Amino acid sequence: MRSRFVGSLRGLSRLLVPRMLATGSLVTSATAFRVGVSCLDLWLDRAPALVRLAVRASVGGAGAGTAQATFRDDLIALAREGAEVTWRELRRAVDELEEVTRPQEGTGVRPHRPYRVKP
Amino acid sequence: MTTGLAASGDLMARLGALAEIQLLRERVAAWLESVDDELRESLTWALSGTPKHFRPATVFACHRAVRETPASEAVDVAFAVELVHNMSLIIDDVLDGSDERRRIATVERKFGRLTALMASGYLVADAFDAFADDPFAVRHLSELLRRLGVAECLQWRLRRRPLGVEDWRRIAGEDTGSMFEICAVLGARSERLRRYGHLLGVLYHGCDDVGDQRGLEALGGGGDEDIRDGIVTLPAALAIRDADIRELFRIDDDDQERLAILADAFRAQLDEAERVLDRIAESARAEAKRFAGDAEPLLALVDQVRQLSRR
Repeated sequence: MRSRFVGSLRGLSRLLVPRMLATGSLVTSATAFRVGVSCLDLWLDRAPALVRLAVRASVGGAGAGTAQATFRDDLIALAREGAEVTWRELRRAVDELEEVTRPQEGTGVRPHRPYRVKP
Repeated sequence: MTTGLAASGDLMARLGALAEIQLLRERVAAWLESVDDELRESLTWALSGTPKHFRPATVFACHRAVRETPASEAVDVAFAVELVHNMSLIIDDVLDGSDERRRIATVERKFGRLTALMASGYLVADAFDAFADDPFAVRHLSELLRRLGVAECLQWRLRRRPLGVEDWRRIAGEDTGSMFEICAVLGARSERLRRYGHLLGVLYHGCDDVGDQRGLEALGGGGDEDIRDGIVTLPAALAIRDADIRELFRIDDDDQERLAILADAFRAQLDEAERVLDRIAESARAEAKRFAGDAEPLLALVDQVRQLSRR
């Protein structure tokens, strides 16, 4: 009984580790790709407005002070949103890794209690 | 006087949390019966008025969004959060020298400073006592108290400084954001909705700022005091992008003409502030859809909070 149990565990671990590593690599690659695409998308969306603000802030004139303050806000916002996108994708990756590696075995049909708790 | 927790029924009905709020009210009423006679009157006063229950609502909504057990299981959490929230209100009123809270005298004005400070300590002690055998909750409640303390000092240290919207966001995130963050974590019993809670808190803080500037009493704050003290609110952060307004904002005096100019400048930024709040609300909705099993109560909560600046 004991040797059969140990044997089945050995069989499981032989398959489990490479499968986990392969899945982990896949999820990591997909996450890196998604982070890259999301950050690029964010930059493309914000860059034109930032460049316009940078020009207005640099050339001087009446609205230069306001443009400088707005530029600082928008630049920090871009950095923060980039960090948030990255963090969100990393959390999504952890969720996915957990989900796809979750053991599929259901519970036993009839739970076996090896001994009686009370007489 | 309405005893504690007289709820904003509409919000709770929309969130489907009426039963849980009723349980919370009963829990608070039973607690008030059990407190020491010396402080019972002041504690009852502190929990009276017309609370809006957004924090307990966040606890219940987050519980419902990710867990399959009944939301009534989160009543203890909501109770503790409500105590800590009321502690923070007493301290805020002492620091601001406020006369009224929820349209009645503050605890300090009614009972004196000593009683106000001791009542706030009593609230914190019993909030922890509610979690005596729950290390997860104790750890997060401790985090909340640390962050609230740091946020108050940060906000005070940075007053009259020419900061921007992102600085406001940081302050709001540590102040109201931390409270809603912990509500979300404790309600969901996981970190899954922490970011959602953070965004909801920042949104609430911003709506409070804008509501104050519109002269609304919706959220109980005071726009005039914030201008006088040079607090960086959302409309202020937008207005002080202008160099002239920035110079006026940095002055420390009670000159009524200066304060009136600042108030006008802040009001001129309300539309832009609403757009900033719309973006924060959108981020909170995206976070809810991404990480909640059932996002409906979380989306309803965002919608309710978002309306606070416009009522």
